[in-house]
Amino acid sequence: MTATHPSPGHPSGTHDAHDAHAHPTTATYIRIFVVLFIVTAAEVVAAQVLPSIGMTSLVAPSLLIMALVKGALIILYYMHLKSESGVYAAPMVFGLVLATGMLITMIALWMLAPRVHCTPELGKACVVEK
Amino acid sequence: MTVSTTEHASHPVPAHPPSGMESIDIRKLGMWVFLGSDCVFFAALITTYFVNRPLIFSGEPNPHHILGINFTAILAFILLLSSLTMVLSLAAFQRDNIRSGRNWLLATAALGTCFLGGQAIEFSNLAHEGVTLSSGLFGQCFLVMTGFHGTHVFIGVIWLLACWLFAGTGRFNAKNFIGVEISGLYWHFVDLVWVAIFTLVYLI
Repeated sequence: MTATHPSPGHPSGTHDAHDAHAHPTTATYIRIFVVLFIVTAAEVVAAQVLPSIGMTSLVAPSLLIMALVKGALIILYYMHLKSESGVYAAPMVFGLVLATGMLITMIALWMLAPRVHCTPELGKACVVEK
Repeated sequence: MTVSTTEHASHPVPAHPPSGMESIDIRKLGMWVFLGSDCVFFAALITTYFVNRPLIFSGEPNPHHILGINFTAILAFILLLSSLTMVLSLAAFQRDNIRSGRNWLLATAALGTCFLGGQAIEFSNLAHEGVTLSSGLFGQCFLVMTGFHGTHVFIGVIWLLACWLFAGTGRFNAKNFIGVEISGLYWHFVDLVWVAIFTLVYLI
């Protein structure tokens, strides 16, 4: 594969404006921003209010869902993956899957591993907590 | 620049619009591959923070007590706003409105600089609280992670200013906006990483 040969309607190094994959309009971009703004504000409120009313267990799931919504909006609309070829999406999806897998695996391994407590004094043995 | 198979002199270019792999821009694909790999890079830093989180929270200082959530939320809003100005810049170039595109590019770079200023204030406050790279696990994990993100923002600001300068020479227009588009992808990714860091590190 080379990237040097121009083809009809696509001179080398250029894009045709009409080929711009029907990107969203300015109004859509602003609407997306408003949604992102509201969700971020909701995150901040949730992180501070939920623990104070005794709903601590809801903090992490609700914040993760809101962060996923924000991430999806940015990738799909601002990075235009919604209207782009799947070829562009593939490396990003692969990276995200790998990243999520690493995060979950490492945390799971850490939770399963025995805790080792060592005291700084010489001659004290480390204690393995089971 | 479009990707096409190598053509020989005896094979004239077919008179049909590009389709499938021919319509793939190799530079844009390269940026997506880089962003995919950068996802793993930042995931490694966030994972390190999370794996050490129980130790970090059992020691002093407690991150929740010294990290200013409201201040960081303002930084998050600044980055979100910069994503909007970035995408408006690209849209302006696609409409051949070069002047507007340049203005939005400059606005994006300015917002990025504001973010960096905010991060400098935060790091300075943490240093006053005794949190440095050598102060312990929290300092190491937090400062390396947010420091690398700040470095990405800094590189992005330089890149945007370079695009702004190039656009002034007439390099970008409705027929050729790939440079702005690729820098935009990078900038939105920087915003995306902050969405993850803000939620996973500051809020949870």
